[in-house]
Amino acid sequence: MDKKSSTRQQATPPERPARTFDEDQMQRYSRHIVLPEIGGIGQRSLLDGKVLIVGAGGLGSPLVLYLAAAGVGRLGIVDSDVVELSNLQRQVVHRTADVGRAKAEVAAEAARLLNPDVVAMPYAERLTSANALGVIAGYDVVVDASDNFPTRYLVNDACVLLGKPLVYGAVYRFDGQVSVFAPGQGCYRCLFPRPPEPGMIPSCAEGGVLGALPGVIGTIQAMEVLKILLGKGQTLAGRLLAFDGLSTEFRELSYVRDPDCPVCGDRPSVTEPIDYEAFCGLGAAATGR
Amino acid sequence: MFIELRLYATLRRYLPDRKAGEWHRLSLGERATVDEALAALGVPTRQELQVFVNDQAVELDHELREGDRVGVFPQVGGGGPDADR
Repeated sequence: MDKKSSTRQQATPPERPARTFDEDQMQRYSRHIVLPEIGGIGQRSLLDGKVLIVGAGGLGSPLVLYLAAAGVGRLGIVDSDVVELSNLQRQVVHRTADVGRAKAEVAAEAARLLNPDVVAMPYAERLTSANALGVIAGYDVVVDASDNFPTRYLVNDACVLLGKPLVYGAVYRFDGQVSVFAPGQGCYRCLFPRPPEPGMIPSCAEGGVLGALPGVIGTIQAMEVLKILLGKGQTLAGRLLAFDGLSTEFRELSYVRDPDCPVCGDRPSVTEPIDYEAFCGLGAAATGR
Repeated sequence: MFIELRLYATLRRYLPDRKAGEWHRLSLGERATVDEALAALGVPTRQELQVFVNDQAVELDHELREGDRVGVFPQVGGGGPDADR
């Protein structure tokens, strides 16, 4: 290897995209680049962006696909489950042939196949109190695409502690919710200080979910992530967007940071991740984790 | 007085006859609070609820006024990896 090519290799290591756009990238991102709000500088922000998606299921599927397509340079995908046949009615990042494979691996592979500019990092493990801060610290924006309360509270608390914006989404039957918990503007605990009693809130398996609903909500989450990376527009910080899929209605509801919030309040009592299974009244055996 | 109310997600079962997009009209005594309105419908308030009156977040003891529009959201878990557990 001659000195010139060696230098070039050092300047553009494979996991980091070049600062300039090659011809393929100009074409691939042309519909972004022509937008005055994005342009080449904005597209570079996306390519330099690092986003962690917690959950590669119904919400995670459109997130992975749209963020990869948009050229978000680094996507971390956390999911400890394997693909099951009953997932495929809504989890569109997975294919029938993927049944039995780790969801994080399948989703990361889909991201890379869609866009080779993307470095997709699968975490085929659970996010825990022990590893959450270390994993999240490496990302600019975090997306809650999980569907269990211990993970929701863990991700929320870790993001507040690290000062990371969190894009929240949840679905049930025909209803969806989306918001952005931006540092200093309220968090999940400001909306829901305490978890529900175990068994009070049915899962999608018990309550059902219309297949396209997580597509709607996950795609809005993807929009919010892109706006945060671009620094453009107004995000859903301080607003909860509620979607009623049965009547096809959106409602926008305002909230503010709770000064008494135990995590993001004026005198926080939670200063490091806690035991979220215990907080949610769940034993490890009860949740199968 | 009358208020209008919508229940979302898991709370929909407490207003089974409401048509999509409609508000439920509820008759209450003067100075009734949100939790009294929910009690009138049999909605348990021991769970964490997010209540919005005229699209602003309020507490359960918020005093209602004639014509208020009340939206009540429970926590929603669904979305991702463990959906089929």
